[in-house]
Amino acid sequence: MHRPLPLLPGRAAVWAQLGVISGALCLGVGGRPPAAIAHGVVMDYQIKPQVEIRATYDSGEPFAQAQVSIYPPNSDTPSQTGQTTNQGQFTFTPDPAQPGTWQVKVRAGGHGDMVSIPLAANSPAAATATPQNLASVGGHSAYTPLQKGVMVGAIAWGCVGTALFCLRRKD
Amino acid sequence: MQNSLCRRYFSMGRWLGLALLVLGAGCASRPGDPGAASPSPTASQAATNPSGTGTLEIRANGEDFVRQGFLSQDGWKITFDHVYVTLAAIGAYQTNPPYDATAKEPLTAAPQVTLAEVQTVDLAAGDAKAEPVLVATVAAPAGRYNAVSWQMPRATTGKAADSVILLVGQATKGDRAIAFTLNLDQPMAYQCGEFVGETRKGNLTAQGTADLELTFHFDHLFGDGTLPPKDELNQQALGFGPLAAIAQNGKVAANLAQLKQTLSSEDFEKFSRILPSLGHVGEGHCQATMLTANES
Repeated sequence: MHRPLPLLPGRAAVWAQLGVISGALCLGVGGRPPAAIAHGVVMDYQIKPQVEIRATYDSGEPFAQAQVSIYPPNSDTPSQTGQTTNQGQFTFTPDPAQPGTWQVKVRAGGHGDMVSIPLAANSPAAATATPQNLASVGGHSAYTPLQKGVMVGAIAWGCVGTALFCLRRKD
Repeated sequence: MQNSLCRRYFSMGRWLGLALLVLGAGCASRPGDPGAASPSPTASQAATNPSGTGTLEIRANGEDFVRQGFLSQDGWKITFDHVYVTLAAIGAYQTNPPYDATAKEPLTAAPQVTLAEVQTVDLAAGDAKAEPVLVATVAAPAGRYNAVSWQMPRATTGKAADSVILLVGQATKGDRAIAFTLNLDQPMAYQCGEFVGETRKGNLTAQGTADLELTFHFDHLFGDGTLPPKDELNQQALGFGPLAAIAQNGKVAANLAQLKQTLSSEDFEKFSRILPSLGHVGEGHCQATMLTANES
């Protein structure tokens, strides 16, 4: 039985925030080799792009302890499952070898929502996307074909003109 | 001769350069540029279809609340004899990027499947463990169906004539029993994204079968007595008490106009606010639009 979520106040809102976790404190994992100093503190770090999900009700109350399913692009099988924290947060690291639209489903007690997160191939920039600019991440060429044509035409015209100028006879 | 050619060339170049500038400026706005007319995230393109077709089943589901009955937030045991919903213009879509109904933008993609037929189905049909009602089975291009839309006009014939949603049942509390017939005759339209539930739906392979679901949440109207009173759902719900208060001789039978006259303004406002929130796709939310009788 699904207990639905009111459309108005009380609806779960899922925000996806992608962020580079830098300087995360990890003990003995990856990054630079830990320095061996007697009685010293061993510190290490790794830098990796992660996606942080924050799920709340419309009221702002965290969507706590909700079931999370992470779907890679074009997959019906979650690559990862888990639970949100008491603050409604969940973090995962998408496989960079699978660019495309990742989808995150969050459900609890009949409430639920799904968010789509476009991730471009080999794009560390995707890791800094925010919910507001997710739609702009990935895929857009810097210039349209028409603009490229205009630029090529202008350059060719300039080259021919320059050649004619150099070859002109003096009166 | 060569100098003349050179002069003509540069003379033409002035005009061509001007034309190129105008052309370049005209198309300088790119998607993603600040101030550029960026495509709506819901102005979805059709996803690339795998070749072939499969069978798409479209179902309507009133959930166990309708099939098994439930306890309202204010302690009324509610059971349904019939829950008629009238459906029309059902569209199934493959959207890319996926349509997000919560973005409150219209679904502008072209549907891969459209069912123009108007039909009324009874969500309470069958026993307590009945499957969701099969509305239609259609051949459809393979691909991921991740958006659906439908309209709910007034039925023109049959047992549910003149209604959009017709709830027929009983409510009991202590020694009180009230038979109700609620004619929710406000036409509506829904635009929804992907089904959200235990499993994913809508991935249709060539020669395969997939289903889509139009889900109706009637506990939004009556609340859920198994949840705390302070639960968001119960805070928003009307309950059955206000309807019991207007019953006469153990019966309440009314359409929306009659409810407006008999319920308190506060309760009717709450009722009206709940109405568009009935339609879902599983637990996924939809964008609802109230239609006039002429639009539906």
